[in-house]
Amino acid sequence: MDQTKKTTDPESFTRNVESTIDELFKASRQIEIDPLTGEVKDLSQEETGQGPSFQVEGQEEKRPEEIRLPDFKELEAPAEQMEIAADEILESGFDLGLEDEETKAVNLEQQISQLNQILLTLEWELDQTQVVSAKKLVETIRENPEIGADKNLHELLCLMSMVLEGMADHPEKMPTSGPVALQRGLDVLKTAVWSGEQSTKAEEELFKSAKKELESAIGMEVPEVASEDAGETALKEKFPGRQEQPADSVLEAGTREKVAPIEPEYQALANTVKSHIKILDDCIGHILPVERLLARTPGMEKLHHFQENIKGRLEEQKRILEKALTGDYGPSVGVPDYAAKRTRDIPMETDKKEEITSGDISCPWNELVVAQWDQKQVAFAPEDVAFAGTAPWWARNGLNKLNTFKLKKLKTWPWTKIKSLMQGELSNKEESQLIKLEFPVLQKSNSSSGHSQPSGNPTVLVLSRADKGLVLMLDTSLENISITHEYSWEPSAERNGPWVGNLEIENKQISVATLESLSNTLTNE
Amino acid sequence: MALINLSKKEIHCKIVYYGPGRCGKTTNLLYIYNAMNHQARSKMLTIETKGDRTLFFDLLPLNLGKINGFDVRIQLYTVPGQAIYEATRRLVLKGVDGLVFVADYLKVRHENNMESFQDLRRNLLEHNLTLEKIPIIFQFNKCDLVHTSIPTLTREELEAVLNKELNTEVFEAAAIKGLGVFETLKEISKRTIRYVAKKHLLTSC
Repeated sequence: MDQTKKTTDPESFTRNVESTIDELFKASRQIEIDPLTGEVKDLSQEETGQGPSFQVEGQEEKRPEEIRLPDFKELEAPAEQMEIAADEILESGFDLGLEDEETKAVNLEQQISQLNQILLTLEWELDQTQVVSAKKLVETIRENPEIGADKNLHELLCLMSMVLEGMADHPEKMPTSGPVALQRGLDVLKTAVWSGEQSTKAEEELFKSAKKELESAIGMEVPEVASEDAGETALKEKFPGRQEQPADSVLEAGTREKVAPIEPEYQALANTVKSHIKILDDCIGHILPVERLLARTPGMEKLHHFQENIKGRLEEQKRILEKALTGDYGPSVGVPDYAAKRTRDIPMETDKKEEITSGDISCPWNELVVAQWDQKQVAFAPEDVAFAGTAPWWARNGLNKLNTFKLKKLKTWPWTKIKSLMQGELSNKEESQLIKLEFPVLQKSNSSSGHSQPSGNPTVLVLSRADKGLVLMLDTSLENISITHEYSWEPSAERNGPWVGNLEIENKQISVATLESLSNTLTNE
Repeated sequence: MALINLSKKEIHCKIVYYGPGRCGKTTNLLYIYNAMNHQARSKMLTIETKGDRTLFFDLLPLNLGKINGFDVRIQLYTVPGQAIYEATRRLVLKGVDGLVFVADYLKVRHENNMESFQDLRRNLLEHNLTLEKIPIIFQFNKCDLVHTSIPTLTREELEAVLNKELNTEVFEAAAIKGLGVFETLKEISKRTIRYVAKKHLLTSC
């Protein structure tokens, strides 16, 4: 048979695969697994009377390949014993997870375990959220009095924090040894915490080697200062004998003295400049969310332009200072005269309406969630979505008639936790706060509520941001869409309307709303 | 997402066993690994165990051999079920083609079942997937405890909270004894292959 023709026929392929599955996926022998120990018992041998009644399979057979970190097994011994004790209790039906224990030792162990897990994920991919979580965990562990009292441990954790800060600020410059160095640091921490004795000579050696690895990971992420050869040469000429400095972003006050010794005059100047760079960075960071908000708020184009200019000026100053650190003390070429530009480009005549063509403004969002509501396709900002899903029947019933909706109606069982159902800001609130929350319900227009066909999959949508919220009953479930260049965006001219703008693609129109714009319709009613 | 290499004639699918902590996900894979013909399965990898808890994930590759000229493999993954390992679960779910949600019959674990299910929904959304889009079946594990003195739920109760909307196949199981394990595996494998073939081979014809 022509193989090419066979491979292009999915039906025939699927049939053949299914028959192979039926043939191969079956037990070739009878076994049973001990729930407590995980040992495999061969029942087929037992039946024939051969061998002992409880023949334990070799470790290789049960779990032939375990990939572990070096020395992991020995380090985990104390925790393993605690787990087995807890497991035995669990098997008898009592729910006594380790997470419920309140002792400091268990908390520290959990923190270390969680950090271990995050560092393992960082070895796969550098995710900003994970890096920030790891840094917070490292700092929490460092604040533990037991850890803080130990000079070596404190120093180790400071170095780990510096590496993580570098990862967060300049992930592209992080050497591949960075996550490995962090893992090494964590192993040494585990050894020290669980040995519980005064450091031995072997442990001192472990500390030294872990610190060296961490320092080299920090040293290799030096920013423009040392990475550019020209800058480095200039610095060496000015300050002979100076050694490389770590990046500003990884310096912490408490550990600066641990870095390689530098000329004192250069040190003072560089520190001053770097502190100014850090302040400029912070200012830019504060401006960014405001700028983004203004970009997607209709009528705020001028303020957005104003913010953009301020941000540009701050970034320019930061660039000048960073260049100064490399030895280039001249101002940037083509620095615009911002004072003149300010009066010329940013007239503060807010009553003057400018014509903005739809082609000039791009959609403020890269991603939206879309559904059918009130006989039209509507889209919402994903960050506003607190809950989207099928709620229990008692929540859905009458939603079209209610003026307000209590979040606790989303519970499917009396013991259900609403917190686990929430997304976004509401997921950070406590359960006791969530069950008290009540949001207004946005009804469909009168013309559509009579004609709308009940959907097979109605979705309750809860929007929430900064203690404000709104509930809608969508006709379909939410779908994510990415806003590509194929979409055209037109902001809404109506300031107090429900929609902030419209997206259009292939003659289909999607109305975009935010929580604020929809809330306006409630206040205007 | 399934790995389909038409030039090398390979199809690799990923099935993830999901569920709350200690519900029997790893036990499923262990049973399959130990009971199955050695020719059909590769070595089972268990990454970073802490005693008998899965801290990272388990991986069991199953080789179906050459079918219609294609080398077909199914990779079974499990995730750590405890609440604090959400990041790992999200990572392991990347590129999933089929799901087995393993729920625990024990009454004390009921809330864990529901939280884990919501957690699955959320993590799938992070990868632009929904439960309605990919093949999923349920396994209600520890059915051997139902008629003992240990308080357990009923199948109807579990179906009501987990399977009301999806209305998909449910298998009762006792993974330590192998009950329902291969039945679950066969069903999800078939569904996953059908899904992958329909989605990828049709478009590449």
